[in-house]
Amino acid sequence: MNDAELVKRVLEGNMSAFSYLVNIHQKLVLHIVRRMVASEEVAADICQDVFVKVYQKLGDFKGQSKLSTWIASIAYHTAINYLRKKKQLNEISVEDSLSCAREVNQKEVEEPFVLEEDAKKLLMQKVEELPQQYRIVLTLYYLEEFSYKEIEEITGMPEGTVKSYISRAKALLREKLTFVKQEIWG
Amino acid sequence: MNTEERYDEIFESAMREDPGYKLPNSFVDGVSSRIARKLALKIQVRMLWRSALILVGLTLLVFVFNYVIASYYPKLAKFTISGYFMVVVTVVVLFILFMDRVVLSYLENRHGSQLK
Repeated sequence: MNDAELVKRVLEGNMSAFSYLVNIHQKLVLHIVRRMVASEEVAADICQDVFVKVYQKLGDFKGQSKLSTWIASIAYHTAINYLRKKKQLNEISVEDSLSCAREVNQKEVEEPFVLEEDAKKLLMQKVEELPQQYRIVLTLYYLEEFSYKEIEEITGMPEGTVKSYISRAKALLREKLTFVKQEIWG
Repeated sequence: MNTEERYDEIFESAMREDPGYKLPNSFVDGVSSRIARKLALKIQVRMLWRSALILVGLTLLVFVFNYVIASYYPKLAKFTISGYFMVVVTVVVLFILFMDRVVLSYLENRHGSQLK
């Protein structure tokens, strides 16, 4: 069933079609929300809210973008609004991230990464320490495989900002990984 | 393979790995019941508006009726109802309906969604 057909069925009041829509998009919504909100319970609550909004606003979906992009955008904005309301949003300071990126670029990592699996686990842990907007662009780009253009549609960030957030996040993670590696292996 | 390329490879593969987040099993049912509650609240609000319109209409009718009686049939004045009494009744009835249909439904909606 394609997006247009699914939307048409939901708008006709078919709740099974809506359940199907929830089932196929719940992972996407969960990944976006959970990357921004640490609490599992709060994230589940926000995810429910996202799908209620999807149901209420589905009539406004004109099919100009993919349904997943449209749903992702609702999920992103719902999570951002929640964080703003709770004053938990770590806005990225351009100065901070630029200086971090500069520091990281100056460092030359000589040693190879010894244990790949450990490095991966550490990376996954360290992602949680990044500012929410870095986490979200990484998730949308790598995990959900959205294009830069689609990420721009979802988050409202210009394509250039998305690209620079990804490369800064990558550099910051590399720095964190190097630091941990030096702590563990000397 | 140099360190840079190795890091890129590890980074990409880590980022593409499923983080393993889980939603409760009753998630889809929770969404459906939340939608049902929202729709019910919407219907209750619409019904409250209709009731308000009917009551305000009736109050206006009582005022018009009282005016006509007082102007043209003063002998029938004992059969009229006080317009102010009607206003008080309208306000009380609307308050009860508002509390019962809107406030209670809203609270049920909020608590219900927190419990799900």
